[in-house]
Amino acid sequence: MVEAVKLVVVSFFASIGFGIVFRIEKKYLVYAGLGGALTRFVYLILLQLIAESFIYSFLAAMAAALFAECMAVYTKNPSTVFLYPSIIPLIPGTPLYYTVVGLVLQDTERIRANAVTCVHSLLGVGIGFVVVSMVMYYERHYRALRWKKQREGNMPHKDRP
Amino acid sequence: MNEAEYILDFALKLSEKMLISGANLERVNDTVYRICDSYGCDDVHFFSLNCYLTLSLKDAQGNRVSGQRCIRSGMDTHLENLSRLNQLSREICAKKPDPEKLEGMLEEVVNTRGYSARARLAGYLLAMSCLTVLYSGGWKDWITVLINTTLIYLGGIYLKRPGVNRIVYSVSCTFAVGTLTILLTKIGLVNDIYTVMIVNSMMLIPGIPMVNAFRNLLCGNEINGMLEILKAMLESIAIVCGFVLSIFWFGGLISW
Repeated sequence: MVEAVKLVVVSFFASIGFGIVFRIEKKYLVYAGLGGALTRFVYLILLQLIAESFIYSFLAAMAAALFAECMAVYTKNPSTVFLYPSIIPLIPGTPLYYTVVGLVLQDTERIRANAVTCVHSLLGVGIGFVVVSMVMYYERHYRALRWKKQREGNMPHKDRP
Repeated sequence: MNEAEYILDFALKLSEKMLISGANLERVNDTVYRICDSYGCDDVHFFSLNCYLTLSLKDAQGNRVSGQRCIRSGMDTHLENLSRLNQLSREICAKKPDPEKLEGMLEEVVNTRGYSARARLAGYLLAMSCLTVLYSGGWKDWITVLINTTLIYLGGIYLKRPGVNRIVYSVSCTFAVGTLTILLTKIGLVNDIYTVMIVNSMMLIPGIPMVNAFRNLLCGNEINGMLEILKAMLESIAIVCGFVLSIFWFGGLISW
């Protein structure tokens, strides 16, 4: 439990650090940290419940993307601003590194052991984002269409495009 | 220049700045279509890759124009700029300023100052310190990671320039860092050489471009996704090559 709390707190500060590296506006740095902490928290819970790296990466990525979309609506910014620092805990750095080490040293065992985890995690994270961002994209698209229709409805007939 | 040319020029420059700052392709496409729509442009066709943009449009007076733009500089994530560019596009769609003024507005947004070099270094040091804790590194590893981080950051200032190949930059940085880490291991300043190398490689490994590439693949931007995956893989290989070279240089001082 203490270890889990430590990981969440460290992820909060790591995301703030990456927030500065990615040059987020100062007033949003705390949100960036919260995104990282939330993602780590969800990731740790899922790790206890699910063994499949694809599934837990997918669900944790969905949580990160949802947080980013909510913050984007709240602050009227692109979701990317909050997404990048939030996904830091999900980047499979170690398997990616060892996969490439295996590739360079022609170590097939090392490649096999790490590449699968790496691709599973990347696919899970990618699909998790896409699901959330597609839902939000179509929701925004639908609202924009409705707004356009309303605007055209209020126009005198001769002025309509 | 007529109105259509001003809009075209602005839309292409804005998309380029957004992509360099870290926007995803859907966001850029959406912004371009909204801006063209707000000026009453018709028959708008926009195709984008992370390194190439092409746009054609017909303005309200019926003038048809088209243009392309190659993006030579790589992605340099600047989320504050991205927020400002997003704000600018919203403002333009709402107020529709004179097309001649658009370029000036864009310059004003891009020229705003962000974090200083020292603040960014502090950000890197904080992030890498946290990663050392996450990868269960000890205090000795932490000191080495901080030294290496400063070295990579300073190297980045001098080597990340237009004309310097990204792969050359990655190999040089990791070779220097690998050599230094081995020397510090020899004098007993490193507990676990792998932790130090993995944490420092996290500073260079293109994790976000890799995730974005998979996202592009799944979103229907297959060409861009494939190009980005290839680029990220080559960069990752370059990073590891730097470390491996430093180990070979020291005659197998530390065996894998």
